[in-house]
Amino acid sequence: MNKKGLDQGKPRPDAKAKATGKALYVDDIKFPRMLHGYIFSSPLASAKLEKLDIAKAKAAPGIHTILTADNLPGSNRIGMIFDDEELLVSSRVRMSGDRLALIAAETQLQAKKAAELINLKLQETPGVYDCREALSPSAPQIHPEGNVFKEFNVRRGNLDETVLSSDIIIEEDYEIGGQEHAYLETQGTIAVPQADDSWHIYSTTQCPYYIRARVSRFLGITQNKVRVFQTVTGGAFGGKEDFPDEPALCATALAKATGRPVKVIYPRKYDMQSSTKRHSMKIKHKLFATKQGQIKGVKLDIDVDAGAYAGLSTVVAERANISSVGPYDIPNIQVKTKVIYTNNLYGGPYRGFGAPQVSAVHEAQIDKLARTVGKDRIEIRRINGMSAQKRKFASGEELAQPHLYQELLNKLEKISKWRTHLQPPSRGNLKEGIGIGTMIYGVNLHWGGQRLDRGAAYLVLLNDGSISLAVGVTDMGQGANAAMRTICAAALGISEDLIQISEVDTDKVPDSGPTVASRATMSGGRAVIDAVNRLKPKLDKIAAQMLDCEDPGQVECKDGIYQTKSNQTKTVSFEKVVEELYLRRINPAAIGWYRSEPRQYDPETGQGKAYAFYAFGGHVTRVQVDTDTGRVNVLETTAVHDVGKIINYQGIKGQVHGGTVQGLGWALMEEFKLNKGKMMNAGFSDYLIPTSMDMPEKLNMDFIEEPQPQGPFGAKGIGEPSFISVGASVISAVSHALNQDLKILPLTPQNIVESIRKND
Amino acid sequence: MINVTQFVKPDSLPSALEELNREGSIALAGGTSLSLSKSKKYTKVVNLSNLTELKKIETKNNRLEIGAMVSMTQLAEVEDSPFPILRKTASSIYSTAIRNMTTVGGEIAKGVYWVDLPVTLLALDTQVLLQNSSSSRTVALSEIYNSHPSKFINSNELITKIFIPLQKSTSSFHKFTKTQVDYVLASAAGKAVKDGNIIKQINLSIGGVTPLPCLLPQVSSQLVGKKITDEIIEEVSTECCKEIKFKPDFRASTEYQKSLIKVMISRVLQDLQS
Repeated sequence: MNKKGLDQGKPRPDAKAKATGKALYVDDIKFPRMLHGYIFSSPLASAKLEKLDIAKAKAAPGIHTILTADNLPGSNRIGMIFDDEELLVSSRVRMSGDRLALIAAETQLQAKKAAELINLKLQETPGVYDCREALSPSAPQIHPEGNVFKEFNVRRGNLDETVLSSDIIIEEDYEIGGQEHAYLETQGTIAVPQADDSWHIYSTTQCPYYIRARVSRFLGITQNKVRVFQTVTGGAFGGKEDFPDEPALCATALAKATGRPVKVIYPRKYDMQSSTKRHSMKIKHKLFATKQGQIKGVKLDIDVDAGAYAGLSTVVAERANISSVGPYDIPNIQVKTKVIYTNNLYGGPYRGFGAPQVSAVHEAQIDKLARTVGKDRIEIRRINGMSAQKRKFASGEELAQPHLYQELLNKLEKISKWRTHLQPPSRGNLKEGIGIGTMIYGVNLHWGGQRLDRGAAYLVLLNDGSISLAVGVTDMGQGANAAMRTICAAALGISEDLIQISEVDTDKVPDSGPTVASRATMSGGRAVIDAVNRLKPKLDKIAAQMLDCEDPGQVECKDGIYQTKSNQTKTVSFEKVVEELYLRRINPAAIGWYRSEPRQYDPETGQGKAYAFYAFGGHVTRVQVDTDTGRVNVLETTAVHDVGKIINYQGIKGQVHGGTVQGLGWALMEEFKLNKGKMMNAGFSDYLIPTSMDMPEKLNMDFIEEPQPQGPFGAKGIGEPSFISVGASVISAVSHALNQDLKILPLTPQNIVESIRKND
Repeated sequence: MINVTQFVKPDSLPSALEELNREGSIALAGGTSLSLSKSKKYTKVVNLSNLTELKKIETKNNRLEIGAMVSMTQLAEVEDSPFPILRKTASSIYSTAIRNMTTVGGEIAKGVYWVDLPVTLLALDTQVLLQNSSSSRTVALSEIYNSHPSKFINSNELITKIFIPLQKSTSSFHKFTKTQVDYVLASAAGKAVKDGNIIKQINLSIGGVTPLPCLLPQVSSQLVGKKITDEIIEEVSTECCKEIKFKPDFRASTEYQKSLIKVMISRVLQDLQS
C-alpha cells in the first residue's frame, strides 16, 4: 500500500502499452476500404468567398468526393452553444483556417495534391484583431448580433463613496496572452458507416458524448444510431473538449457521401492554426484598500477575445468572471466580463478555464498593494485571504473549508524558505527574485453547466472474481483510469490487479457529461463508489453466510480476503464469494450514478452557489533575470495544493509536474505571433514550449489533505489547480527581481526588455 | 524530396564525388535540413555517412583541419582544442539529438540565418575545401557567404574540409535563444590578435539577424591599434548595429534584435579584453 495515497503503488494501467508503443491511437487504426479526408481551408481571416472551383481537383487521381457548402450531406450550421459557425464556409470567411472544402481520397497525399488544384478566389475584407478595438461601433461586425455576444457580472456589496475614497487605490491595465494546447497527438477521427445505417466514430477526445450528440444532429438521426469509441488519447488539456466534434463532422460528412470509412487526421500546422486556444484577455483592475492593506473593494473589466466563433468561450468567461477576485473575502465587488468576437484564433477550454488569466491579475494587484503599504507579500495575503473568520467567496457564499487557505500560505512560506530569498543576490545584469501566486478553484462545473454534472460507471463482477469497469469520464493521458481503478479497488477491498478498465464507449455507460473542470476523479469516482455500493451488500451477505456470521455488517474485505471483524481466523477469498454469487444466479452487474446537488445562483449579480466545492492552491517561484537580454531562468518552484485526499500518488505528482511545466511555458515562452489572424509560428520550431532543459532543477511539492465530504474518499481535483497559479507566481518573481510592476504575460525576453525600458 | 528514387551510400570520397556529378543528385550529410526539403528537383540521395576520411579533426601545416562530416557532438567533445570557442559554439547548437546529426559541412551549406557554427568560423578566418570529381578549390568562408552557399557552390561540388589557421589569438562566441532548443535570435563571435593589450588584428561576426551570418569589417577595422576598454565596448557595440542590415523577423522586433546584438558584441569584446 502506498502510504502517500489510496493507491497500491502499481504502475498505471496504460503505462506499459504507451511506453512500448503498442497503444493504438486513432491514426494507428485502419478499416477495410478506408479513405483519407483532407480539409481545404482559408489562408485569410476575413474575406468574401468569390470562387471555389473544384472541377480539376475532382478529376485528380484517387479522389472519391469533394464536398463544399453546396453539396454537404448534413446540416452545415454548427456550434456548441450558439450555432454561429458553418462546417464549410458558404460565403464569408471569419478565421484563418476556416474550412472551405472536404476531400476524400485513397491516400492522404492524393487528397493533398488535389487540394492544390482547387481554384479559389477570396476577396479580403476588413477584419478586427484586437478585442478592445472590436468594441468600437465602427469595428467590422464578425456576426450580425454584434461583437459582444455575452456579458457576465459579479455585484457584491456596494462600491460607494466610502470605498471609492479609500486611502489606497491601485489601478492597472493587464494584457494576458493565450496558449496553444500542444497535445502530443493532434486532432483525428475515423467515421465508419454501418450496414444497419448506424455509425461508429473513433476519436481522440475528452468528451465522446458531445461527439455523439453533434454527429446525430448533423445527420438528422437519433443518438442511438451513433456509437463513439474514444481512442487512446495523447493529451487534451481542454483542446479535446468541444473541438474534436469538428473533425468528427468532417469525417462523417465524407463517409456519408462515399459510403466508406473515412479517417481525418489534422497535420500539426493546421491543428495549431484552426483548433481552439486559451483566450487572451485584457483586464482593468482597480483595487481599493486601507493604509493597513485591508482591501475594501475591487472593480474589474475583463475583455475576453473569443476569436471568430463562440464555441465554449461563454463558459470559460463565466468561470473567469467569478474567479477574478481570487481567494480573498472582499466585501464590495464589481466585475463586468465581456466575451468578444474578433477575427483571431478561436478561443476555447484550456486547463484552468479562464482562471489562470484572472489569477495572474488579482495576484499582481495584491503584490502591488503589499509594496504600496510596505508589507510582505505573504503577510498581505494572510490579512485579506480566506480564513476561519473570512469565509466568503466572490459569489457571496460561505465556504466550508476557508481556513485551508491560511494553511496553504504557511506551507508555501516554509517549504520555499520564503524569507531567506527576500533579499536575493544581484550580480551585474543577473537579478534574482522570488514570487508567489495563489488561487481558488471551484472544482466541477459552474452553476451554468450543472445540468451536465453527472457521471456513470458500469461495474461487472466476473465469475473468476475479476472486474470489468467502464466509466463515462475519459482518460486523456491525465491518469483518470488509474484513479478509477484505485477507487474501485479501495471500495471493494481488493487488489487493483483484478480490475480492467479502458477508454470510453458511449454504448457502455450513459452520458456522463464532459470530462472537464477537474471533475473526473470526483464525478467518475463517485459513480464507481455508487456501483460498488449497489453490489457490495450482496457480496457481504454471501461472505457472512460463508463465514458463519449472522450479521453481514460484521464482515469486511481487506486485500481480497473476507473475514469477520470479531473472528479473524476464518476467512474466505473475494474470488470465492463472487463465485458463490454466480452459483446463486444473483445479478453481478451494477450501474453507478452520480449527480451534484442542485444549486441556486443569480447570473445577473453573480451571487449564489457557483460551484459544488472549492480547492486552494499556490506556487512560489524563484527566478534569475538577465536584464540585458530579458531571459528568465527559473531556479526553483514550490507547489502546494489542497486536494482533500490523494487517490493515486504517482498520478497527482504527475499532474503537479505537468501543470507547473505547462504554466511556466505559458508564463515565459509561449506566444502567438499573429498576422491578421494568421498564426506565423504554427509549428514547434517557432511556437516554443518548455523542454526538460528549460525547467528548474528543484520542483518541491506538498499537499493539504482535509477530506471534502462530496468527493470520493474526500478527494477534490488537481488537473487544473496544478496550472492556475504558476503564471501569477512568475509575474510576482520577475517583478521582485526587477523591482517594478509587470503587467503582461507571457514574460518573453522581448516583453521584459521593453518593460525595463518603459520603466527607466 | 518527393521525386527521389535512388539512395546510394558510397564507401570512398572519389565514388561519392562521382555520384554527385550526375544530375539530380544531392548529398546527405546529417540530414537535419535535407529531411525537411520540399524540393522536387532531386532524384538521387548520396549518403556520405561511410566517408570516414571526412570525420577527422587534425592539426597540419599550421592549421586546424576539420572534415566536413564531423558532427557537432564530435566538435563539442574535442579535448585540448586550440579554439575552445569551437567547442562552445558546437555544444550550444539545439539539442543533443540534433548535435549528433548536424555536420560541419551541413552547417555551412544550408545557408540559413539561424546557423551558429559559421558565425564562429567566419571570425576564425576559415577556408573551405570544395571538391568535385575532377578538381578542387579552396576559398574563404566569407567569400561563400558574401554570395550564398547554394549559388557559390556548384551542384557537383562537395564541402570536404575546412581549414582554420593556427594563430596566437583570443576568441569568443555568444548567442541568445529564447529557450535551450530555440533557433538563434542573435549571436556574435570575435577573434583578436593582440600585442600586449593592443589589437593588431580582429574579426567580429554576427548571426541570427541577417539572411546569412556575416563579418563586420568596418567596426573591426576601427578597433585595430586600440586597447579594448569599457568605453570602446560601449561605442563599438552601439556602432556595429549601423553596419548591419537587419532582416524582418516575425519572432522579434528589430529594435529588440538590435539590443541583443549590442549585448552579444559587448560580451564578445569583454572576453577579448581579458
